[in-house]
Amino acid sequence: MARYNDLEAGFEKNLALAYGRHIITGHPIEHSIGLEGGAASDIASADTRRVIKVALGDGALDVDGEGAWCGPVITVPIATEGCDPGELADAEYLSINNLTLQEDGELEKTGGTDGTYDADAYTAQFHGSQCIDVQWEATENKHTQNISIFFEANPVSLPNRNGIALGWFFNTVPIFQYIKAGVPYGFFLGYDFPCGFRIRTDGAGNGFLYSNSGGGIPGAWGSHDLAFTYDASLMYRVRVAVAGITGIPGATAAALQMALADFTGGGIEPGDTCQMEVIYAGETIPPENWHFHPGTLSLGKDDPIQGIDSFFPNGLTYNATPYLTVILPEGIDEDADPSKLAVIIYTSQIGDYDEEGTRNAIAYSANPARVKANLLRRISQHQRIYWASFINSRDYYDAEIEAPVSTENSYDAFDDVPLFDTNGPITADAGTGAIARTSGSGYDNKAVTRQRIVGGEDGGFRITIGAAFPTFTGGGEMHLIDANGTGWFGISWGNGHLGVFANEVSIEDPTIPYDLPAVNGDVIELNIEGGNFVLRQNGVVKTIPQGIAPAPSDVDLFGRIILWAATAAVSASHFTGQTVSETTETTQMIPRFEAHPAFTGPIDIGTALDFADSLCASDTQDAGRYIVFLTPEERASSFTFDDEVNVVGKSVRVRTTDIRQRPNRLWAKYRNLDLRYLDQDSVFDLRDELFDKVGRPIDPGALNFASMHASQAQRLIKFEMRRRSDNRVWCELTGMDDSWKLLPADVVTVLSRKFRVNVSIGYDDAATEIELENGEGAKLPAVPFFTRWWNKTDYKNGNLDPNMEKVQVTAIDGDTLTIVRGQQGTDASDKDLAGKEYVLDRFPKKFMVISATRESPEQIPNGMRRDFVLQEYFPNDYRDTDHEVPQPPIGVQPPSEFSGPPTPVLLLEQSTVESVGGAFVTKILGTVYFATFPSAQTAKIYVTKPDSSEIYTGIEVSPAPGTNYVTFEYVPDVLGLYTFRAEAWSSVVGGSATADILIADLIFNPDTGALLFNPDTGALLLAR
Amino acid sequence: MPLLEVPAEVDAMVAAGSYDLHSTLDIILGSGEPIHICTDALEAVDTNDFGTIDYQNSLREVGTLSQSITLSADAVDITAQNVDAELGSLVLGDAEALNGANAILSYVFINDDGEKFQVEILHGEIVNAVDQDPNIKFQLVSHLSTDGAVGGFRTLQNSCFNRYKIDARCGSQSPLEQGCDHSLTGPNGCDKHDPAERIVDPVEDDNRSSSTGFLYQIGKLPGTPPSGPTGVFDGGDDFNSHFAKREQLGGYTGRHTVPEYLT
Repeated sequence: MARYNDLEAGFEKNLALAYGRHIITGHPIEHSIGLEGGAASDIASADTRRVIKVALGDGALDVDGEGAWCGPVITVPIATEGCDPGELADAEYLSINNLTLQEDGELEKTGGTDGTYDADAYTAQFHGSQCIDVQWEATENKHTQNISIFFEANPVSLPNRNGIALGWFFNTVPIFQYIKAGVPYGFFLGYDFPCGFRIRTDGAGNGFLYSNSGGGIPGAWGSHDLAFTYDASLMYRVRVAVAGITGIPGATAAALQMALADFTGGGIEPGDTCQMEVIYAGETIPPENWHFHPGTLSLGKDDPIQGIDSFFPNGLTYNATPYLTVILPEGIDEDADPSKLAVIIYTSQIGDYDEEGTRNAIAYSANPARVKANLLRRISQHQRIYWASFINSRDYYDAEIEAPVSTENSYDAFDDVPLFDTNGPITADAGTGAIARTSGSGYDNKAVTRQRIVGGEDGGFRITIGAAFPTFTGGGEMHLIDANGTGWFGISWGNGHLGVFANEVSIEDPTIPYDLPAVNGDVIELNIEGGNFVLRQNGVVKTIPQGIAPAPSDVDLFGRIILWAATAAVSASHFTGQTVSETTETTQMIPRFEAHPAFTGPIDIGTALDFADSLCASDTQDAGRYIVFLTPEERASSFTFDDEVNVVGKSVRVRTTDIRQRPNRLWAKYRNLDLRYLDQDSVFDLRDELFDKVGRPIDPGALNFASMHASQAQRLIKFEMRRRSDNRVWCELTGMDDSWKLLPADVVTVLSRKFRVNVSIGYDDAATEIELENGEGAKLPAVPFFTRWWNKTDYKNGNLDPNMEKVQVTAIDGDTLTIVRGQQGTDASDKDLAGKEYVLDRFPKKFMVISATRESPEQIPNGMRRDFVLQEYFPNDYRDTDHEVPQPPIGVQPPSEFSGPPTPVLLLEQSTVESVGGAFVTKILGTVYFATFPSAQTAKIYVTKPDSSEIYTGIEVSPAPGTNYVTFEYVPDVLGLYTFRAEAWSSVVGGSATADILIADLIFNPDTGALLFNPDTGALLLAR
Repeated sequence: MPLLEVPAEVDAMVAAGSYDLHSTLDIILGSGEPIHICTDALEAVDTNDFGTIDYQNSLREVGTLSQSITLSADAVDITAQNVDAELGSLVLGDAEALNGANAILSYVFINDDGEKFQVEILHGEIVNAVDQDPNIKFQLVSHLSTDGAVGGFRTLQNSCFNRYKIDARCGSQSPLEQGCDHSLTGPNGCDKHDPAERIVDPVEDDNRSSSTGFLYQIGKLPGTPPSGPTGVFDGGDDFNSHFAKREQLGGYTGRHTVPEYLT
């Protein structure tokens, strides 16, 4: 097979720029054989693909070190104070090479080569969660001949360096404190100490003291004391290495003293939400079988964070690329498909900022303000952020709100005629529970009980069949179903008999004589008795052909009737179970808004910001020197346009959005963060009154909400519906000089005679309650406000009406206004001229600036006329309370590919027929009833013959088209007990059903001619 | 909440209707060199970014600035005089420095006492510069409206896409003159270059650890991905796919769509 690195192999895919939490597949970039990884030649091998590597997204450094993905992070404490583990003791060494330990604790180089670090000694290892204090006293020249004290992990090659915390102190003075979640913590971090030391970390987890003059610890006179805390999950040791100086013998490391204690310093918990989960075809991969690399700058091929993965010893570092290496589950290496890999992951680590715009952290965050700041940093415009607005919006988004998650019910016992919710041409009588079709036939109706049998409880659903259904006459169905409408247990009636559904399998004997004959007037009960489903017909327990059928202990079941024949009917029904007495909501605290956008293709800044804003009902304002982050919080009106004062004459135009452009249906798709697999979910909002007017759906198509909580999606879709559909009034006008500071996204007030409502007539000059015409109260702003009241029939302008009166509206109740008369220099007067139309106008109406022009001083000397497009604005377009308990997502989680089909049902019978020539041939006829399963399935038939062991018959059957069953034949060769096993298969093996049959000699029924035998004894009842 | 940073004196001038007003443009070339032009010659103007400066009288005309809440169309046409062919050389010269240069459009208010107050109106990039003797014409487009990708552009490709030595992801210590063919092991690939300074454990002989290529990038292997928890971003409907679909339906115009008859 050709290597996979040719140019035809699907290049030109883009790595994702992603924020927040996602479920992704990634792009396959390598796969190899076996657990050992192997040589590069393995890449070309098609033998097996158990180990695969996928690139997940873009990585660090696009934005000054931001962008490494979060993934899994260990929570690690870090010392915030100098550690003092207690009394020092002489160091004990486990391994000493080319050194001699002297009585005073010093280590003298007695082997190796001068000038080479080939002499060293190791202390016992200690845990990274401990505080260690190391002290030595260098007092002589021999102590300074290139001698190094190392703190190093054991083994040196760390398996994983995510979650490092590091604190170094010189005595009790902090020298260096650092904590990072999967990000390299820098290299060549040099610190000058009072004694001339510097401390260095080599970037791979090894720290050491180093002199400023280069090499060892020359000049390191005096006593030194270092405290150290590190990755709590790893083991460390102190290593003393002695090189010596060429030509100068006797290099000796000063006696080392150490103290260890459990770490008790302060703690930081970085990124402890950055868990990830790896799934292959529905199976969770255990953490030990995947390695995650966050996309940091590689420090070299041995870099445990972004080095060459140990599963691929000859691979690449994939510098600055978040990638994942996975060992797939056993048994699938022949057809491994990386596209079946899913990773649920916390992605980019991005900056946070203080009031001055100084970045003070890089960490995972889905805060929309931080996402936007990261986007702006990508074009180096983050310096222009108005940081007060950043802080305000960040904190506003982070503020937690209480979101409904589910409901919990309290129940009362119920034993009576149930209440039915009906759908389609069907009616249910509340008194008797009788159910009847009203027209037609088919599966176009249902009646479902409101009462239920709570999971784990006993109960029952009983009906009396109310119409005849002899052979060739249809009937109906009766089931116990769950809240999703999935049937658990039930019967169908028709053609003079019953069919039974249980254990996910339908079985019906359609041949006379029927196994379960039934007639009009039969009383059928679907019960749960002792945890099992029980079928009773006229009070008699009937054997369920599927065998014992356990009822679910954690699923509530409802009764459902479907009448599919035109003549079908139920004459009475009864339900024994529970009825809901009280429903209470459970809630969770979630951030008010999160933004989890992902871009898998080139994205420009304007669109990216607009999309991020769309996820949090917000706006970004380009305000000249600053970029301002605006939230959906109420925006105060910052300017008033008055068409009699500061609007260019007659420039005000008011229109409403064409009803055919106002969505009456708005919906969005999103990944639901409340669900484990971030299942795709949808949310919608409707305007039925608009639908009724226009007669068809006006639907702009699904909005993309990326990943978010269901609560946020609900709040957002209602906000979008108000903005897109309800806020239908638009205003255009040309402003004068004083409007020159206004910007898009500002809110303004417009006073215009074009905004008016009609008032009923018949008021004297003392009336303080007036009525508007139908529905117009909703057009008015929040009280209190002033407005004009005048006679529109006789005057074109309110100013011309001598009885024009200004009033203050102090309360609005529907269309009833409470007013204060005779305001702002006007007198109260009667408004009761018959046949005249009175209006209120020039009430303050709020708009948001959608667009604006700005003509330059050169165009209009010393003038700043501006054209505005304004959209109606209401401060409560966004509401924190616009959410309710979400409906469960439609559909069910597909089963793992490693879960086979459920257990089928196997029924057997003996068939003996007279063949040509008078000989009798005996066969075993088997019927396999398959359970519901989303994929195609077959059954392999095994048999255990008398006094033998099980063998495969070679028979593999699949359901007959349009049915859930299939028959097979088997010719027995001896008499006795046969045990058959039907093993269900899809891509993997599923459940097995077994059944026995005793094959006796020929036996016939004297009346019918059918064969008979005694199944208990095998004895012939009547020989021919 | 308008946030144009406006001195109180300007508010007072506008309220009184007594002021002189000019447009200014500060162009910052890629080299960092600033050019300050105005519709009049102004001396000693206090600016936020350049201190107290003088403006040349070579800004001919500033068109109508259009601004929108969608951030997608904030732009203005500008005409400047090609004084001494200085701007023209920037358009047509080897450097082609005008296109892509940053610029700040401002107003300068002058009161009756001759005091000058500058208000920044638009920060952006210059595009479409044309030498149209005797003038230079161009557009100033808001930084928030400029095209060009800010992310999602990194392709899965065989070769390393780092700019040799310039990109921090490369960091090779080899001389710049050596250049790079962006391969891993080609004639002038990563293995022919010294390692980046950061690569320290162990000290490596070459710069292969800095490569951002995908040498073993493989195509999709046979098989049909199941629905449910797998799939690509957002069920295969990432924003850009969504964007593309919306474009097919009539164009993505952002969330704040102005009805057509109002535009």
